[in-house]
Amino acid sequence: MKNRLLFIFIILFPLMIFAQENRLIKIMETELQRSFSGLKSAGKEPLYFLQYEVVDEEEVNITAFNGAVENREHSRNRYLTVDVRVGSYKLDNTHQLRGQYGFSAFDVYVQSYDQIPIEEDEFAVREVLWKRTDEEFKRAQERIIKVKAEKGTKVAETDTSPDFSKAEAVVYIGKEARLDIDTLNWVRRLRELSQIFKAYPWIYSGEVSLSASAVTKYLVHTDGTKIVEGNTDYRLRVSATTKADDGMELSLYRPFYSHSEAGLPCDSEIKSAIMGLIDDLALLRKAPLVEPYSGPAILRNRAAAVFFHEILGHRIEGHRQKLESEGQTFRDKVGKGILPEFITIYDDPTLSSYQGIDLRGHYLYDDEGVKSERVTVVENGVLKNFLTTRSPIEKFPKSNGHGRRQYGFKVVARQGNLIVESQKQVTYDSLRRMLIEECRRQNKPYGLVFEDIAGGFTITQRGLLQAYNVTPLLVKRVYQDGREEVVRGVNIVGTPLISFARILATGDDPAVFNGTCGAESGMVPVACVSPSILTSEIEVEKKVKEQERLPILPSPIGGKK
Amino acid sequence: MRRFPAAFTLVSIFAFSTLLGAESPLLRAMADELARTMKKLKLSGEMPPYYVAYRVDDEETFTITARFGAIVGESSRRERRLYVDLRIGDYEFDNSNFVPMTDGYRLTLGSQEQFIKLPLDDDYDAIRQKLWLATDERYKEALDLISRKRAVLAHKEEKEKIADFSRATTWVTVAEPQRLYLDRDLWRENIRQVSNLFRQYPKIQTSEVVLSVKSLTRYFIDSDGNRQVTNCPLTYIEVYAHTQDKDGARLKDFIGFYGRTPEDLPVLSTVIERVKGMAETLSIYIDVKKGDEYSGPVMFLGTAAGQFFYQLLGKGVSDVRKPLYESEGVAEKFEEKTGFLYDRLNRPVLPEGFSVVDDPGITEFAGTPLIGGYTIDDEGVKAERVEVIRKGRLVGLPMSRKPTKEFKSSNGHGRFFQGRNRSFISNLIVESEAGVTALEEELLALCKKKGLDYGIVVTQLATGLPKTDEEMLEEFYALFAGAGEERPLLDAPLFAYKLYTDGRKELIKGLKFEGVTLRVLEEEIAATGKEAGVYNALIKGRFGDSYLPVSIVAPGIIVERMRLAKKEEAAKKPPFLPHPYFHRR
Repeated sequence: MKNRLLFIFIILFPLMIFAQENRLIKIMETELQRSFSGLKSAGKEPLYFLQYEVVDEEEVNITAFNGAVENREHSRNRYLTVDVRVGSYKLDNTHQLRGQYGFSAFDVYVQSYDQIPIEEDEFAVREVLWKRTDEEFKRAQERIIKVKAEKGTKVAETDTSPDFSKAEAVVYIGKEARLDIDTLNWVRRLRELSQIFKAYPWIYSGEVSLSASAVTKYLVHTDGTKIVEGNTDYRLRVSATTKADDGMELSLYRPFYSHSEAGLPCDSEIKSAIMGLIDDLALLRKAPLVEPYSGPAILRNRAAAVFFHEILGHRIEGHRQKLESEGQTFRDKVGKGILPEFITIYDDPTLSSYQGIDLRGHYLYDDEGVKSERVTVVENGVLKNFLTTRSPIEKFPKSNGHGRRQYGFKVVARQGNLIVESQKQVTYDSLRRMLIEECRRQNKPYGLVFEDIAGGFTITQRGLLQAYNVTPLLVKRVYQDGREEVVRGVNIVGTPLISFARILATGDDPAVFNGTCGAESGMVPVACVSPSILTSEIEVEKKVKEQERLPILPSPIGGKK
Repeated sequence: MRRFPAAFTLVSIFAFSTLLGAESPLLRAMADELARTMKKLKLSGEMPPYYVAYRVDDEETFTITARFGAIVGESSRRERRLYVDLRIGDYEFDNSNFVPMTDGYRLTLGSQEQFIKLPLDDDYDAIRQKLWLATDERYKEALDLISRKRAVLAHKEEKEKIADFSRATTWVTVAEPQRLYLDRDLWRENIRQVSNLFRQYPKIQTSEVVLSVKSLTRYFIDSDGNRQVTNCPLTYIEVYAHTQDKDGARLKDFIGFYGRTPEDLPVLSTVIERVKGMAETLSIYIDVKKGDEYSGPVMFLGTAAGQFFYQLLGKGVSDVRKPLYESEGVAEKFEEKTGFLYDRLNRPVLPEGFSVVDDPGITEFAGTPLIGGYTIDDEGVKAERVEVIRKGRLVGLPMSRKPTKEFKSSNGHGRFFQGRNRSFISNLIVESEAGVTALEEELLALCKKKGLDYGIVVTQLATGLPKTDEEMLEEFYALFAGAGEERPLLDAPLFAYKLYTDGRKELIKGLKFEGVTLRVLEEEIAATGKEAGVYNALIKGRFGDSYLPVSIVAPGIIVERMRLAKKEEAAKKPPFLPHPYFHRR
């Protein structure tokens, strides 16, 4: 009997594995094996690592403007990115080349990509894999010659870590994601919702848009990893634009996010968001221009989240400590205090939600096939760790699963869900009282409250270096007597990092900011969670006046209600 | 008496449908905002607009792409694009024909078309709101442009003054919007089947088959009183194939089938046959030897003849008046070389027996659809047939509303391409009185006379071949490094063969023309064939982001003396591994 059981077990076991096999993964693996064994010693430098990543992206986008549908799209594509490493773990073709500027410096980040069939036709898929591998392999062989030549002629780099590290092989065959969405119903809803803006002729453009996507990642590499991971993503966004009397362009938006269609807000919730947006925009339009100011301020939770993501988050991305062209702000700060003791920050892509709110930066495996990990970056104010990839940095030789990219780019360390937590929490009302007290202490007539901040960077071209910045959208003055007044044209100046070091206390009101982050490795979904923060110092100035003017003629719609 | 009511009914239906069209919320919003703009838009102390045109292209595109027998993608997209032409100043001098420095950046970033998306819903208010904002923005931009244009001119030598804009007859025509119907399941299978043919050609590395079906309804109104709704659909199948020869040189082939509607395309069996022919030719070419340098008669047949006349004649008479550049440099690099025949006006450019017309009004030639035509051009001017060459002399030009010294008005050849209205050919028809039926014999006779063993026959030039992503990236880098390649007047042959005096044919490759000047047209054409062929093409911008359909109808020709030299090719190694399908175990 026992033998029999064992027999059944043995029979069943491979069957179970077989059931788990994914057809596309199988095709990719076949070509991966053929390519790897065939190309290993085909060039001057040995091929030591090969990875195929296919991203299946199904998208629905609908935008309604002032009651009319402006855009309606449905698409499905599969994009292939091939990563080739020749040379050795110590030094390979991906190594940074110094002294390259402008467009020739491109190749550090940009990679070619191709589209593969959405049908799992073995040879149609393999043809693309084969051709792309061949091209990337040749390019890698060319590049390593440059890398080695430069090694011989330039001074040594500060960080002498190897170019690649070993990682555990993982097999994870998750569910493939597809969209199941009632498009017609959404078209009707968005049309109706955006209709609200029409009653306000001073709003130039009022939009409600829905972007739904189902993304499945298929990844195989020669260290034995096989991954299928699917995620769905539903974003609803309400936005409006107008101009102040002096021509300054003003725009506000409210984003909603969920992993599922059912998780999106209902009409009444969206309506009240639209009304809130209109109220804020009305205040902003009539608001006075800000005066140069330096003093205490509150960053409201969502604004604080954006601020943390842009100003701190990007500086703890591992590759920035290594690339010679980077500022390397925190390279030598590990083990030292960079924030007040009561602040702890971690990045945790494994979290799918935070206090019931879905997080957009959730993923199980990164784009190098490494299992994502919770990384405590700052513990009790002290810098502990960086977000890392399989490209090691000094003292951090292992990946913690933060190697991310958009297809067609090279992987760098990116944030997933950045969570800011505090041990010095007070209610928002108390925080506001503390702001007023701090104003009195510093002898300032008023403090500032940043209600809303947009993050961003200036895209100049795919893959070019970007400067991170934050743009305050809605800022209020809070006077010592408690009065509030909206101001506009606010620009944050000075070193924003200082504002973090001078955090006095935080609220007990963590909020989630879900967004899309653009950087060297393209656009990736992210989230950041933070409570409101009170800082004793922030410096602002008036935005440089643009040459904008109000429209010459009044709106042709003329206030019909 | 009986016929009267019937005629009446017809007219009333016509009147009713015209009314319907005129009352479309889109057209009404356009007309109302235009009227308000002309009446009221003016910044104090500045000039008001003297001319405004709104053009809205309502375009629905359906595409299927397949590779090696499998569907890569399918997309369906509808867009309403608004283009505003707003002019301040007057017909003599306005804000147009000027490329500001900032356009250089825009061009290099690949987004050449400046348009505003309009709502797809026929919502009067929403559309009007967008029109208002777009017009306002364009007006302010026009004020800025005209002052910058003046500033640039202040530093230039005063040349002859030519007006910036011409007056044109107005047209009112309102057609019912048309949508193309497509049996998607059927076409998906057809495209798959065509793509699957490549499984029979082991020497071809990669291939792609694309079907594109576009319904285009255009709404055009302007302050001159034009009011037009027209339909201009376009359907095509394009098939690309790539491979490399043993030396690693890239070999490509491309074949296109064009028409207005899917019904215009050849039947599937014909498409299959022609794609097979293309794949076979390309496969054979891998082993074809590089040709030797050559100097002697060259015959251009079929597609090659059309390409020859497009490049040397069609481009030469198009886009003749160049804009003023604020900063000469980057922006110009992205422009095609055109207009080079302009200074030959009223002089011979072809042998006496040649006459050439450009006629946007014809839709087919001997059963083959022509795609260069239209009824009304992109500036709202009714399309006219224009005599370009009479008895070898250049007597006319395709004209837009941008005048030249000699031609003050448009003949309906204003075509929007790469962000600007340009004067451009549409259907160029080349005819020769002295056509001979046996062109091959003429070639052989010429060879014998010159004591040559063979003459060269070119059947296709390497024109309009789609670039791979990699090639585009390479070119992009090169442009920024300042090394924008000089484009030859005549592209290299893609397919050619030697025709020996004993009748043998031998394929050759790897050659390019050398020392081609415009004299080729005027002095070197030795003979022309009787039968004319059609060359349909989508002329693409440098990075393929906008296109212009043109058609050339031309007979085969023999050029008495041309030089062919070996082409330097950036050879890449052939693939290290064999194609996975053809070497499957």
